[in-house]
Amino acid sequence: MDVPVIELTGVRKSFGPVDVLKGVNLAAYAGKVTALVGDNGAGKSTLIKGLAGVQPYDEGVVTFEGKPVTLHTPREAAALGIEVVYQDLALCENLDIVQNMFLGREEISNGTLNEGTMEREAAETLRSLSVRTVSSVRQKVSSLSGGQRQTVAIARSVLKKAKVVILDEPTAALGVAQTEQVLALVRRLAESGVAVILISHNLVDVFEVADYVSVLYLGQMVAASVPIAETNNEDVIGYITGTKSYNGGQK
Amino acid sequence: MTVTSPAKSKMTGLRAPSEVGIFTVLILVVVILCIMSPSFRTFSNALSLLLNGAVIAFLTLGQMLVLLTGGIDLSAGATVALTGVAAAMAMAYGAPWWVGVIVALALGLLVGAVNGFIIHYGRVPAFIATFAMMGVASAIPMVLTNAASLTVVDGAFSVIGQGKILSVPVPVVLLGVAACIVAVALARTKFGVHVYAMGGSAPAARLAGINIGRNIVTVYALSGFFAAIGGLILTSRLMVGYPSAGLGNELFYSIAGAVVGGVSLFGGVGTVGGAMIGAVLIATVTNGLNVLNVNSYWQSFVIGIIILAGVFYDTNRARLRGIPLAKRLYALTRRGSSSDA
Ligand SMILES: Nc1ncnc2c1ncn2[C@@H]1O[C@H](COP(=O)(O)OP(=O)(O)OP(=O)(O)O)[C@@H](O)[C@H]1O
Ligand SMILES: [Mg+2]
Repeated sequence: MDVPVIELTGVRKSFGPVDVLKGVNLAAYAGKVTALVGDNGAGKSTLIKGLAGVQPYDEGVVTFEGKPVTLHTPREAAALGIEVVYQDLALCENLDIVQNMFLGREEISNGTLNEGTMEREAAETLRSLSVRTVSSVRQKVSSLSGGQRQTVAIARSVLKKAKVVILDEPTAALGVAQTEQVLALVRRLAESGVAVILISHNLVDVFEVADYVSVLYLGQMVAASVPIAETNNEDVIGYITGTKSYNGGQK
Repeated sequence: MTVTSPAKSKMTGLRAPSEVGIFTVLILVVVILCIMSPSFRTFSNALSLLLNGAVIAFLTLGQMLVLLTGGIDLSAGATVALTGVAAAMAMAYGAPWWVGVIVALALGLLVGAVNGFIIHYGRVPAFIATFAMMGVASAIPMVLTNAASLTVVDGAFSVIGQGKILSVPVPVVLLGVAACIVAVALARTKFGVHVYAMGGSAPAARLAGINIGRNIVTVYALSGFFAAIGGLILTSRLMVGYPSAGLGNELFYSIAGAVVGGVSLFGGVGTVGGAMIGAVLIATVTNGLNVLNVNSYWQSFVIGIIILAGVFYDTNRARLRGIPLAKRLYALTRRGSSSDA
């Protein structure tokens, strides 16, 4: 059994009278891709916003590398090495690739931007992920395709040695070829030792790239960290729609 | 996957061409005016054009910073009046000229910072917050002076608006220095990248951990500061503090200068170079209309048309980018099939 890098236990979150997360457990493992699936409104985004520190949980325990931690601000999350790649909000189109990858954590020398260092690090990070689809790191993001943008957003997340990378529907807007490209990148990301949490509505993607799958149903984790080899498409659809319940797999 | 639109102009980006375009327009306008009017092509007119242009350009510089973040500063003209009168009042109370200068600059910073605070922390849209501030800042000098003008007695104060350094008017020198500092700050510092990022995508900037509040307060404070320099120049040129100075077309012209200079009203796009060329273009057009004895009522009309043209281009920028002019015009005739890249 893999050791989780990050583990959530009994997480609760409500907005006024609406209980969105009703005691959720979630784990992510180093070097593995954990898919987080669930129907619209199940609470996936709410769960992720808590991990990112942008919308703290009301209750629950977060354990990071075996130690209890708090995630009340984005800075706390970033300090632990938790990075989130949001579907649409990740990049500034008017900036180039280097500027986007270093946004908010620019390399500075003598009060001015150290462009040389940043360009080199950006190119190195892209190379380490075997990204060969961008011709220049000085290209504006507005000139990139959807897949290239997702690639840049993912590269940004690992620039500073992230330990947990959360991807919110990274392939939602992509065509077949670009989806393959991004999934391959997700795989390489995990192989580099990062714990990846992948949110997706596309079960084909999930079965292609994930090691574990966790299913949220109306704010409850109805199937937690099921090894992908021990389940199938039909079962997962059952968990998502609430017509099946998971009982196998010893904890 | 291959790169679908390999940017050949990697190094130049999209900025240089847009500046070249507006610069060409400026040269054309100057040449046409020189041909049309003997009084336009005199040295003294060139100086007066630059002097008038300096005030507009200072406002444009501040306006541009605010526009880059996706905001707007409608109180810039009123801040000119407020700070110009404040300097004159300070000197009327016996303060030396440099104290008057400090009072004006500090007041400009304060007005701008208050704008920034209201906009960011009070979550009031920039358009409304600065619109309200325009009322407040224009009323104060009227109330304090009872709408009368204040003569400046300290002769040394005249150096700001009337002095020369190596035969270049001081306002033009000040503008050059300020424009260079802002250009370097935008291109080479963290602050600059963050300003562009905030205008490009506010959510992305927030998620990247950028201190948005501090930057918002900074750009509005700088806009107030540059408006104060404009106020000092105006007061110093006439050695009179007019409570109605800057309440005419200055605000209008400063936004026009920024927009025709390629600064996007939607934020995130624009350069100091472009904005300064835009400001000079606006100053040239108004000066040209003056020397051609065109009724001054037509000036706003002409500038309004120029703004419309600039905003029209800005709004349709994504569609028009990189397409030759003839094709652009053709594309505009068949609207509807907008393709957002
Ligand atoms: N700020 C909020 N205030 C009130 N209710 C909210 C808020 N944020 C989310 N919710 C509610 O919480 C529930 C879960 O939302 P969430 O966005 O987490 O779902 P999701 O699993 O990400 O769905 P999708 O697949 O559509 O993205 C929804 O019913 C939503 O209406
Ligand atoms: Mg969601």
